[in-house]
Amino acid sequence: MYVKNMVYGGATMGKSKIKRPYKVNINDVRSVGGPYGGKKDVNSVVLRPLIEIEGLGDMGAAILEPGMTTCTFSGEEEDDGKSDHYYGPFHEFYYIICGEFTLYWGKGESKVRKGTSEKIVLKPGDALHLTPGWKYRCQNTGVAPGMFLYGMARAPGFEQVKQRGFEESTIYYLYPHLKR
Amino acid sequence: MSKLKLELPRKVNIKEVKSSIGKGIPGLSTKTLISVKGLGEVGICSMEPRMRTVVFSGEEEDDGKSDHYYGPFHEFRYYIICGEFTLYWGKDESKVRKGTSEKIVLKPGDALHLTPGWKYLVKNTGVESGMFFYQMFSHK
Repeated sequence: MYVKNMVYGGATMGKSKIKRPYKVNINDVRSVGGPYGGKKDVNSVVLRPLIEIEGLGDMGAAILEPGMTTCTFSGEEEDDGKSDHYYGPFHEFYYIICGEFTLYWGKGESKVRKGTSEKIVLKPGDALHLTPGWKYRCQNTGVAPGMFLYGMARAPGFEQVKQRGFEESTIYYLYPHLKR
Repeated sequence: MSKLKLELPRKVNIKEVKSSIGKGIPGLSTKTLISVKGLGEVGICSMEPRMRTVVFSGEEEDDGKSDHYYGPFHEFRYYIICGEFTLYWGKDESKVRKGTSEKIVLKPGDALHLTPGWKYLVKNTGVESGMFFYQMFSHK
């Protein structure tokens, strides 16, 4: 796990810029819902980004009412322009706290959006690895509100790519601490 | 030419995973749920009241005083699902171990970023069983 001269907060460990550990409570974080990039179908998804490390990834909680869905998002190597969000190659991890979700995934945006693609049903206690190279969409397919934790990290060996679907104002809304 | 080796998304349930740390130690369980070579892992840690982790270090150099030396981990984050924990942290191993170092009290809904460069110890300081989700990533 040793990382020589790791980049952290714009400086390197070797130059002794060390940050103090910190916490944030989910109730202190502004909820982020849709519309992302004008997509009105995600406006009941509540995302609470908790901790974000610029350029590396984030951790947060997602709360969805029954029937609600995320947008389609892509971790593919190339952006074909069809997903609502393009992140570039990433690993993402979910841990289901409560509720039932279905993850739709594949290469075909239309199937992922319609729910006719391959899928994985998720229940409390499930951990999910969203591997790089696919399009995804996650929907609450249960009868009660659901919540999962998520953590995302850029795939090793890939540089930060130009992401799509996030206006600059949205980024700062998602991660208000970046402004502080 | 693509340099991405495609793998299928996958899930695992916490009940299917054996405890990887704390084996044989009543009241302490760490389950690595998903591990990705070259990146890191995510998992769940459960602790009964008064149980604690070892002293672990994310410092740049290993002074040999912590129980577990990771090196400067890039991203070590917790999310408290239930229970109350206290994080003790600092450079001085003795203070961290005794609980006289700086500290952060953690309650359900708290997310914590354990920044690299410090020694740490986490203890269940509540009266009930506690559980937190963790993720540790390291980019090379």
